[in-house]
Amino acid sequence: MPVLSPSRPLLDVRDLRVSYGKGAHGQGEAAVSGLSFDVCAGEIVGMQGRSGCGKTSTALAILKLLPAEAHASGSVLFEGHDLLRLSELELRRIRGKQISIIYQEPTLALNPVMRVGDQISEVARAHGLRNVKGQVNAILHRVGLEPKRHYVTYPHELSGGERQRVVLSQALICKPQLVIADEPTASLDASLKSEILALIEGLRTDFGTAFLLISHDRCVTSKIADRVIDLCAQQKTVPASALSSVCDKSSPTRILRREEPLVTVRNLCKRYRTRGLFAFGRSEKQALDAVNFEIDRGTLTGLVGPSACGKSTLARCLALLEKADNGEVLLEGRNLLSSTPKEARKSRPMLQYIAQDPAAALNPRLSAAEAIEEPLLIQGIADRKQRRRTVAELLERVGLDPVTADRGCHEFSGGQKHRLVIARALALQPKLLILDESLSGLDPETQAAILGLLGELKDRLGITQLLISHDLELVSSLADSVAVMRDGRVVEQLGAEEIRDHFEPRWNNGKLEAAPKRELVTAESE
Amino acid sequence: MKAARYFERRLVHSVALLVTISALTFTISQLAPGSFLDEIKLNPQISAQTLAGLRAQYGLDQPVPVRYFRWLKSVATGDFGYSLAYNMPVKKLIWERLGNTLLLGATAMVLAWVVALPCGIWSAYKARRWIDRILVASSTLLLGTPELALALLFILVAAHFGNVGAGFEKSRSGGASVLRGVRIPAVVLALAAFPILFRHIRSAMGEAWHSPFLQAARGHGIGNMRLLLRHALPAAASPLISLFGLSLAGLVSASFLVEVITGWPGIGPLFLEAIYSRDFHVVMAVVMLFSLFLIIANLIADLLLYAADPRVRAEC
Amino acid sequence: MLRQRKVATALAIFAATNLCLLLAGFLAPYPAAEQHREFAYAPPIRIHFVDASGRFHLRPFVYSLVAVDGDGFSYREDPDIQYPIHFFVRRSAERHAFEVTEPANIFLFGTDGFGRDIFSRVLYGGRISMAAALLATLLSLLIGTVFGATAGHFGGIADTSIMRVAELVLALPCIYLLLALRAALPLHLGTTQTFLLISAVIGVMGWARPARLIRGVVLSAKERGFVMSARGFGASEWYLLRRHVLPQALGIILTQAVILVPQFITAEATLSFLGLGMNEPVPSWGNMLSAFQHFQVMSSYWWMVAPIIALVLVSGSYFALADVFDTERIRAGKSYA
Repeated sequence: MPVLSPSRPLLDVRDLRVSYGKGAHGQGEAAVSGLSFDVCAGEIVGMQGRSGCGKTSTALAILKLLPAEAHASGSVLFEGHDLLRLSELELRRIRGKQISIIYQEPTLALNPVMRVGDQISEVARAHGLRNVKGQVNAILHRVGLEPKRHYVTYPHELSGGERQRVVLSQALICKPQLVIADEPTASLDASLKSEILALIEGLRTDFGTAFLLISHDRCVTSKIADRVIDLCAQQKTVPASALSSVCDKSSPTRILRREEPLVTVRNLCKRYRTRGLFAFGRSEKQALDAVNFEIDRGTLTGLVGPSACGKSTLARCLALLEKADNGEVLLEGRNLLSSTPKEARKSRPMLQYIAQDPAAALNPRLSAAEAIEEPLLIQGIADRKQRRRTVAELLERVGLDPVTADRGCHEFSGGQKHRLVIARALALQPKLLILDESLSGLDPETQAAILGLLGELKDRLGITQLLISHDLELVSSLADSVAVMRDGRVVEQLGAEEIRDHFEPRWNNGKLEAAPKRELVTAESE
Repeated sequence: MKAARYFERRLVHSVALLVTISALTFTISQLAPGSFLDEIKLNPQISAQTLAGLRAQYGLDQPVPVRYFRWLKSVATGDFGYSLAYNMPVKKLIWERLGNTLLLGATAMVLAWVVALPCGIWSAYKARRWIDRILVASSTLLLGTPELALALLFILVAAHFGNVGAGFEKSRSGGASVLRGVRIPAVVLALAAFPILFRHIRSAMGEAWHSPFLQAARGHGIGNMRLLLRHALPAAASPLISLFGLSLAGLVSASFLVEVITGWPGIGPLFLEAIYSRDFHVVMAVVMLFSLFLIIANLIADLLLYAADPRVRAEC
Repeated sequence: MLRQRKVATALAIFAATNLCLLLAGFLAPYPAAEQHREFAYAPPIRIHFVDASGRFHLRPFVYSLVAVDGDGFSYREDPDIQYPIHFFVRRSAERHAFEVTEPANIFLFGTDGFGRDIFSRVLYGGRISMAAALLATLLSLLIGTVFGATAGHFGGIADTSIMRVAELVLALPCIYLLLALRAALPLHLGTTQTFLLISAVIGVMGWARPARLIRGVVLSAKERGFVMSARGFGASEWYLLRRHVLPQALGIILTQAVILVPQFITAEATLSFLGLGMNEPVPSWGNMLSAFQHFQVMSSYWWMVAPIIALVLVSGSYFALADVFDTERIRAGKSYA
């Protein structure tokens, strides 16, 4: 850990308050209330908190980049000036030159019609740097890109990790004293995460730049930060070492019940044909290649594999949303694929499919109650009072307040929408719940809460679930058995303990794969 | 090469479109009751024999598919037939007028864009301030005014100030007198085209201005003017190029009325006359011509889009 | 606050104009075809409250017109007799909003070359133009919805072919196409036939855009998460159509209707202006303006622009309404486009 100078802090934030909404003196919603912290030169300070805690608002407030309807008060001292009191012109000289900010989504932060090299040189030019091209090439090299090749590319031609490096180049080309990084690794997968974090650390060492690292992921901040500020816990400052214990995962043990499986999949095949122009350029893809797979009653089975291995296709075929070419899907002994459309409609309610984005699965015009009772309506389940009762029960079961039943769907938060979708799926008492990447893209708190809900559903109500994800760690924390897919085939299906013993996450091209431990290769990505 | 495949597809599509239009126009014109010769029939001085002779001469006694192919063949070589009303080849008739219409259209288009572009950019930049409100309100007013009304009102005002005389003499000295003559029709046409252009430019620029990458660039300390012109405008360019292609059809449509009302000797009045006198060769030739023009223009717009937007290039 | 005022004004103007046209029979003092040859090209009548001797009358009155000898058509008022304006007169089982007794005339907007009251003709003509536009809109929306829904629902060949045709229609200059189509049909027909014919022709031209939008709604509904979920609950296609697709489609249909009506009014006016629409003596804003093909008329008899003002007013009110609809839909978050 580098030696910190105990002198005056580089950035000194005192009693920062940010609120959104109309009215003077913050009549609107308060996003940040009375935050005080400081950052010293060359320090990496982590800023931590749930989503909605005010992390991004703080970041934007420092450079006065908040939207028009926000009000900020307090003081942000930097080099003797209060940034909140400076004029736009004066701030422009500081932004990008002395304090830089990196936003959450690198894809969105880059201009799609401008070459990457030009975008970096724009920043340099704006602050009057000389030998712009040379400097740009230098910084590109430093962040791990190839200047010759990457200068002329467009953002959409790059991968997520490369884009993040470009954004870092933009932030660092003027060698600022402080870089505010808002969730720099949120959209990256695990191996890239560690690379970018290592890069940041290296940059701190080489250039002496201080970093304010904002993240909801404790592991990220605890890895490289010297100090961590916890926004939600009343702005307490906690040394990084104390947080590392949170990253350990507890390993529950489960007993596998070996009886007749609820769902058996045999020899399932599906091929996709893409249409080319004038009959040339037609390509075929074997999405499912004789898949064999079982799901036991009352368990939570995980289905993992790299992207494009066929997990989603399998899920959709199971849920009868897509038609497989051949094979069998046996639900309690009966083959679903050979039934008539009418029979299929009847058996649909037994397999409920929940897709990744809950917002798209809810009709914004409806209220929560209307959305949840829809399956009951469709299946013709009787009268209003009974439906209303069922809706209230379901809401309670998923941990929502029945009083909110009449609110419009669009008024709920992301995590609550997830629960609504699950409640609706439970309305018809399905035998199998299929969750397709439902937990990706959630912040850890919500993820943990939903995982807890799923666990409860399994333990208390005995609902069989199939959880599909690319994240092995996530799945194995809760699953009783895990099936691993690759290239359209299920290569292994093992119980949870066996998974932990025999498999280890392996990084291959930056993607998480489960690979047998015997091939203990710690391949580096890219 | 990816570009070649993209354009091969567009080209084939365009040709198919053109053929369909030709077939359609031909069918419609054949179905029309009453032809030029029927009108002549009313003249008692023309004998039945002369009529039959005329009919054979123009090939009007052949079955329809034969006539269609003969017509298609001659069109392919640039011969659009004979105008029965004016008694001269259609090609020559249209050629004289085409230049005028193109002049009017081009002038109006340039005028409209030259005014709409800066207004749209500025309006997006100063969104919801008073200048923006005024511009949006006046564009809405213009939008809600039908071309008929616009042209007539404009002429009224111009007549009041004694400035009429939109037609021009095709004098050898050309140049200045033509420009003077095209002033009024061009302004009216530009006024008709302005509101839609303005709105789209404003919305495209507005979207670019409020996009995340622009906020990010501002966060790097880049100045507003540079942001506007070097960062936002190129990003807004691709919807604007599509807009240009689409706006041409509207322009051609609007130019018809403007020409007729202001007396500008373009294709509009010719077309009208042809309709009154049921001169179908002229009617079909004009429809085909404009279709061809618009299809080519859209093809060019696609080309420009391909060149300007790297994302389009990637998709192909 | 400003927004609410805008909405209220738009609705008010819209309602007022449409009401006037609807109540043409009530508001118009003269039948559309009635000629007053002795008062051709008369300027708008002046309404007085104070007479020549300076006395104020509560009930407004007019003076009768007397032709002035000499060239052209000029008139002066005869200040001898005052003719008060009577309101809500009942004459032979018809009620009229206002009128004056003979031999005075109340030409609010003046008269045309045949001495016909322009105000009455604007009202009656507007009614006809509006009726034609409404009919055409209905036709367009009907054809558009059927084609769009078919294309969206069935996909494949049906979709491609319908959309190609729609592209064709949209790619071509509409006025030329309209005229060509109109020209292909008989030029001289009876009044009702002409009315139905031009409504049909205009309506047939306008189906492309609604079809594209409806197709979009149906397509996106097919792939929407909540539609998929509903299908997962065993919903029938009919249920999905009714519950999820139709409400959104209705919104689009309504907005399209509000945009199409003014365009069709203009189309009818243009056709009539060129002599290819409603013919004399049936009044239409278009054929009332055809006198302006000779612009000397305009400068001398400026009051004949009345139909233009009416056209702009009605057109504008529809557009303002369409704007309001759009903003409301986006605001309410109900549009899941």
